[in-house]
Amino acid sequence: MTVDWRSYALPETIDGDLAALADPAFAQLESAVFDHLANSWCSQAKARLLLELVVLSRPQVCVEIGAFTGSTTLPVAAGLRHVGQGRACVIEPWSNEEALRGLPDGDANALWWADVDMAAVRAQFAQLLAAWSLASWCEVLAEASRDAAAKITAIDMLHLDGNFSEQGSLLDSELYVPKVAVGGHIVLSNALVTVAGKPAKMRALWPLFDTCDVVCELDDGNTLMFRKR
Amino acid sequence: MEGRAARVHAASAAADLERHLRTFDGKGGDHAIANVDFIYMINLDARPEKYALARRCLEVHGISPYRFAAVDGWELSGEAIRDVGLKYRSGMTPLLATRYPTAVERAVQSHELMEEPGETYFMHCMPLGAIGCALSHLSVLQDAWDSGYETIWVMEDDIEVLGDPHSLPGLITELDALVGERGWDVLFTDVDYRVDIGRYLVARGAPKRPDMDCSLRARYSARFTATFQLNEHFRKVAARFGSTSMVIRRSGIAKLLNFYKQRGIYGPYDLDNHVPDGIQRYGLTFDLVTNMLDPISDVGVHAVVPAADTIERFLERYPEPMYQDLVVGSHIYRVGSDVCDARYELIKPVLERCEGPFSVLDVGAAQGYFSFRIAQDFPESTCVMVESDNTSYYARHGSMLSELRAMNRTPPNVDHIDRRLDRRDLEQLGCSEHFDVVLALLVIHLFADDLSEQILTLQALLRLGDHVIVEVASDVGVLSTAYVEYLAQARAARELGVVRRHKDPVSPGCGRLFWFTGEPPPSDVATGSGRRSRSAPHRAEQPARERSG
Repeated sequence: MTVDWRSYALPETIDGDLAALADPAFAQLESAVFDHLANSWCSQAKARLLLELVVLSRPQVCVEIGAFTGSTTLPVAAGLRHVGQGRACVIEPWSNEEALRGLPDGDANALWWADVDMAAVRAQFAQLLAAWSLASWCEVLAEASRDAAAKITAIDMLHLDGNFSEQGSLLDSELYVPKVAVGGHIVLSNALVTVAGKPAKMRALWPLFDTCDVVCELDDGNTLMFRKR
Repeated sequence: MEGRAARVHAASAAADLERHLRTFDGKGGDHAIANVDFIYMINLDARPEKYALARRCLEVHGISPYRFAAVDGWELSGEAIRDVGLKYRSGMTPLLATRYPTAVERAVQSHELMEEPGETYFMHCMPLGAIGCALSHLSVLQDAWDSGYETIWVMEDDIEVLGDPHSLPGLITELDALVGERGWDVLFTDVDYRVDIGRYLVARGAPKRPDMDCSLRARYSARFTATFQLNEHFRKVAARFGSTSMVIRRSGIAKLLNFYKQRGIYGPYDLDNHVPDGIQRYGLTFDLVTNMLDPISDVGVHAVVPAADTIERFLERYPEPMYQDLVVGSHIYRVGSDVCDARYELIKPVLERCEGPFSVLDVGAAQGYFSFRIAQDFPESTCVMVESDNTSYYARHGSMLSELRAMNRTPPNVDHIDRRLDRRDLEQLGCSEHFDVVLALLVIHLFADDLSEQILTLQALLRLGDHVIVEVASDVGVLSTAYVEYLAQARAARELGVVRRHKDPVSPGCGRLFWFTGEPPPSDVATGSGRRSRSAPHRAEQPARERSG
């Protein structure tokens, strides 16, 4: 399985200047991000994808649904700061109730989400932004994605990593994918998560198939990248 | 006294053979053309696909032969084999020969010198299938004689029609004028037995029979070698190979029946049927209706590999788990790990909608279960199986399938592409071929690891067929499953049903079968992948309607 999104045909899918990736300052930033995320849930392949996508496509509005500790917020916000434009809109309620919504009782995911100390996770997220001086590049909407949707009008880059249930992931897809501009990119994380023995995010792919092309997949298919047609 | 004994023997032999001739149950329909009272086509029940092909060759000319259910020599009883063959008697020339006294000799032919008076012997290495073939021809001749026909046309089921068969009545009239109505017994509708385009297998003399002069001088005399051209259209024919298509006069019917009833079957029909005294044989100077090149013969297969043995040997050679049940002839050996019957029942209604001959591309055919069953149930169909070794985690599927095809006597309507195809191959195939039905059962995820490539693969498959049946599962290739399910609703594909994937009752996996009608997706439906095919980027909108096979 491909672990580097660059192995896919970048010129066909990205309009940006590939020379930007050869900038020594960018290489230094990327290396630092990789080091920081070394033991996080964000693989290096996904961190590279998010960071380089920002640098190449220079989005004005990046929306992330489901930031948790900020592991995937970091490459996006760091990328925005590097190019000196755009903002990251982070939608994360840090709520056990929201995380559990739609998950059947007894499911392994439900059991895990029920025990997470969301306040501590939120604090970890805030520390990350502070440590990397990224707060000014991020707008945090600490609410459920369905409630935040009305506040988002246009999106250039969308990262879907919210609720694990079929209904919740589908709702995120239906609410936010239409807001992505033509040519904009969407990254779907945890695509292969199973709930009650079934892959739960497959229906969330339908709105993406409807209006987007698949660009690449990483992490054995667990991370998918699309481009809006 | 000696003459009386000979007459008694002859009468006894005639009765023995007649007892095993197959009779006919009513012959309705129009099976005649001008100057020909009746047209027969000999075909084994186990070979419906051969008949379908041969019938099609004639149907386009408006000719409808009567199908005669051939005698299957491999099914003959020991008594029948003994009765219909040549009986060795004193005064005959003892030859190295073959006989079938027990079941052992059916599996491993005997090779022995004739020495037992009254014992039945056949030509050296004469297979049981050839005995059945001769009995089939003789049964046809007996029916024609009993029916009072003056002229019949007898064909085997591996014909090729290279000219207008309606020219035959005119040729018969011409031959009547040339040699007289009573001057000919047999007219072959070709030059000789073809082995290639413009090349023939020419008989240079007569084979040995113990009841004839076996000297070189006799066997290579003009009687058996004098084949020559009479005029623009006709040749006088001595010994020759092949009995694919023969017009036979009543006089010829009588000579052939008398010969065989008195002397029994010894060699293959085409090696013996020139022997009757006084038989006048002619052929054409061109191939009108002749033998198919590289035909599938059922005459000699079983003598080499008995069917009952074959499946056991096959399973010994391939001890690994089988994916599908094995179809060999009319038997289904339920050794596969996957549920096959239920899938086939879901697919069959789609096939039944196809009118007339149709073509099937079976992608990832595994052990060929579906193609072999389709080929049997729909003899006018043509199936192309795609399977090779080292496809995904199945190391020997291609080898297995090659052997299974051979065990099915290499049906002419089932082809095998022993190659691992990729998406570009499918696109390339789509440039020259189009199929009525494409089967892609749990294979799309095996073409490539990544979704974008799987999407392009699916698109290539959809362009290849009018009816594309795609199976997906929730536990393998889940991303491609999601795309197929999405596309099914976007294109209003019909869900044929859900089947359990494995026979193992503990296994929870299920497959969903979708039936796509094959039209390319409208422009407002997802193309699915940002990468455009480079080998055939624009042709899919109007695929060529060339058929496989």
